[in-house]
Parts: sequence; structure tokens; C-alpha cells
Amino acid sequence: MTHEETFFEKPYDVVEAYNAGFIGAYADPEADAALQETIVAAGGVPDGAMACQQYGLSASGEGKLSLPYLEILSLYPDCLPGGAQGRGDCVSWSTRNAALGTMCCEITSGTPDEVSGRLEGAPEVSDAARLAGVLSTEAIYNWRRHGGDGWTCSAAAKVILKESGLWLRKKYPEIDVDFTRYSSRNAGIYGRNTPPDSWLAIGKDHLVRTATTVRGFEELRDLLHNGYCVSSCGSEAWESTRDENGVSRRRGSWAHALAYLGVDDRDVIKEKYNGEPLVLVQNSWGEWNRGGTRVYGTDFDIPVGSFWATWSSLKNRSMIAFSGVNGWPPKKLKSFGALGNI
Amino acid sequence: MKKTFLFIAAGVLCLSFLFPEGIVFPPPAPVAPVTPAQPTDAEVVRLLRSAPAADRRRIAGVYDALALIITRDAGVRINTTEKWAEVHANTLQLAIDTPGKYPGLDVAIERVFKDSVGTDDVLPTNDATRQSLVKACEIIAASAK
Repeated sequence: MTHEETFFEKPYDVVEAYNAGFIGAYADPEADAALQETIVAAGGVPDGAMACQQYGLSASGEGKLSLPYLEILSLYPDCLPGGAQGRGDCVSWSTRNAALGTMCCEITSGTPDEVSGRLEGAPEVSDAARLAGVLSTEAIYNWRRHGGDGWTCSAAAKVILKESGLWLRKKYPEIDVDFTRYSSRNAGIYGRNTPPDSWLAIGKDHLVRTATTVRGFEELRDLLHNGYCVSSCGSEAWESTRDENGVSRRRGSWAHALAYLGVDDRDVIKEKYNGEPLVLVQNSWGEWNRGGTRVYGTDFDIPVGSFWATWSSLKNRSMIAFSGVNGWPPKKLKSFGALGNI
Repeated sequence: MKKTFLFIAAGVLCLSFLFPEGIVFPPPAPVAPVTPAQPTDAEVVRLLRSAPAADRRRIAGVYDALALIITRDAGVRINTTEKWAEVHANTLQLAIDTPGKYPGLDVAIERVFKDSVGTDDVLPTNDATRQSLVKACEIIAASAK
């Protein structure tokens, strides 16, 4: 954590800063414990493996390629990576990306919300908002409770569970803030002081229902297979090049937060990568890396700024999967297509 | 036992006198295969009752094709009912020469879709939604035939 705000003008500056040891994400056992308590209080299961067992998800993703990011892109084309972070707010970006993944999977699954029982729809956003990642990262980061930069994944998770859930990228005249486009300055309107009640009132409209912490590959795989996307914090770093299958090798160290939006547990992939399954990592640095983008054996490309990493290269990270979201009512069709056309 | 054989032989002899050219069965009459009637929509049927056969064939063909397309797409491209509406509208704009030729037909078709899908909320085209859209297409095609 830095005690002063640190802004980056260009994506290259972000990469350089993290490579040089900038601390965007750090561990905090107290925040981890507080998150566990919050999950339990919300009626959730804090242990991912137990959650998989309890909800019958165990082994559901075994041997499969699971790409929840496709659900995001089906509802909001080109919304990933949603720009690039302009300060040390990577934790809010990985939290936003994971929550966006869970939200979109919930919508495209067509299953009613577990609490309200209603079918939820994909909220409409402007093109500018879509290209900036649909949901605001700044509305989360303003709750970091210190005046510098850097945060913990568990504290951010607790914020979206309790105080400031999903905010669409748009103008909020009631608090005089425009979140349509990402602004690193808007991410730091509040810091040491938490946002006022007017923010809390908006933030509570679309809270994430619950979360679970992930430790093993099987639970990570099964949660992603079922559309529960993951925010992770750790010190691992990867090369900025990808092989022909989009895989990057681990190298160096970043104190950084990253979202996981896919998993590949197919035998054919494990044969290629020394018996290891792959995890799709979405970074928040814009178009910072290059190389192959095609998902092996498919017609799909991974999103800009993402890469596949072997499980062993990220297994020590702190990982949090988000479950249901209190979403938006479905959009209404103006016509099924026949009106005025036949 | 001997008597039994005697009776059978006498019976066969009698039959041979009665039917000297053998018992002739009438040739089999082909039975028309029974196909279950496709459900139709009364309003669409009424609106197209006096339409020329070519128009009815065109409309039936369009909706048969749309049913096939949405089935084969399996939710890949047409992943929401909003996308479906767009495909449907574009198809009709290309296929129908004179929109409005049968006043009220568009509204009737809209109603068939809404009744089948059950809502005008934008929905993801999962299996259930896709089946509802296909069913609506089939009803309209059957009503035009």
C-alpha cells in the first residue's frame, strides 16, 4: 500500500510501476477474517470446496473448457478489458471484472434470481460505458478506507457484499459524479473518509449476494464452470508474450490483483502443458501483452489484455469467487420482429 | 381322431366347391398416413384465408426456415430474444414484398410469439426459450399453409 495517491498517465507506466515493485494489492489477515464473517452473516459458505459440495457443483467442470467471459461479451461486446487502470486501483478492477462475469452468467443462464425470484436482464449502458467495462471500478475503490493506493481483495469483496455493489457506468446526478468513463481521479474522491450516505444508498441497490474463498483447483474449476467468476490477489507476475494458445509463462513479481474468467481442464490441454490445467487471467492494463489469442480447438479468442496461466503458476494467490448479484429487471422487447414488417 | 380328420377333409371339399377359384381377398386399399395436425392460430388463418397460394407459401416458407435457423443456431448467434427479434425483422424485410398487405397480420404474429414465449421481457435463448420461438414459427407456418 502507498500512503500517497499514485497516478499513471499511460498503460506502459502501469506495467513499469508494477514491475518495479509498486504495491497495488497486499495481504491482510484481518480483512480476510472480516470477509469470512460477512459471508457467514450473509448465509453463504466461506469455503469454496464446501460451497461446491453443498450446492452440488463438485466435479461439474472436470475435463471441460469453461469460458464464462463469453457470456460477458455476448451481452456487452468489446467491454473487456474496459480500458486500463490509471492508479493503484487494480483490486477494484479485478473485483469489478469478476462481479461482471458472475452478473452476466446469471443473466444468460435465464435462471431467476435466488432471492427475488425474478428473471433479471442485462442493463442497458451507453457505448462509452460498455467500452469502459459496463460497471464502475471507482465506486468500489472509494471505499478503500485510506488515502493512498493499493488494497486487499478480501476488503474489496466485503465492500461489494455490504456497501457498494455494482454501479452501472453512467451519470449519477444525485451525487454529482459521472462514472460513464473510467477516471482515476473519480476513484479517489474518498479515501481515508468513506463515502457519504448518498453513495451508500445507491451502492446498496445492487449488492453481490455472497462470495466464497477458493484454495484448490477443483473448486476454482467448478465455480468458474458454473459462472462464478473470481478475483485474485498475489505477488505472481507473467510475461507479456503469449504462446500460440494464449498461454503466458510466469516471470517476476507484481503485487497485483487479477480476475479469472475461464478455465481449461481438457485432457488435450493438460497433455500440452505438463499435465496442468489452465486458468484465464484478465488483467487491467489495457492492451499490455501480445501473442496468440485463439482458444485451442475452438473459434473463440480470449479478451484483450488477458492470458492463460498454468494452475501451478497462480495456485498460491488469494482467490474469491462471487455468487449471485442483485441485478436489474429485464429489458422489454419493443417487438418480436414482425411489427410493420409483414 | 379319424372322425376329426374326416370332418376337416369334408370341410375343405365343401370350400373347394363353393370357391372353385380359391378364396380371393380384395386387394389392399392403401390407408392414408395420419399426420397429427399442426396447431394453428385462428386469427392468422382468418387473415390469410383469402390470400393467394403464392403469398401463403412464401409466409409458410419464411417461418419454416426461421424455425430451422433458430434450432440450428442453438443460442450461439441468436443468444437473446432481442437478437431473435432483429433476425426476424431483417428476414421479413428481405422476404416480404408488400408489408401491410394483410392488415393486422403483423400484430397477430406478434401475439403468437408473445403467447408462446410467455413474456416480452428480453430473455436469453436457452433451450426453453428456443423451443417457444420454434413453436411460434411452426404455428404461423401451419396457419399459412
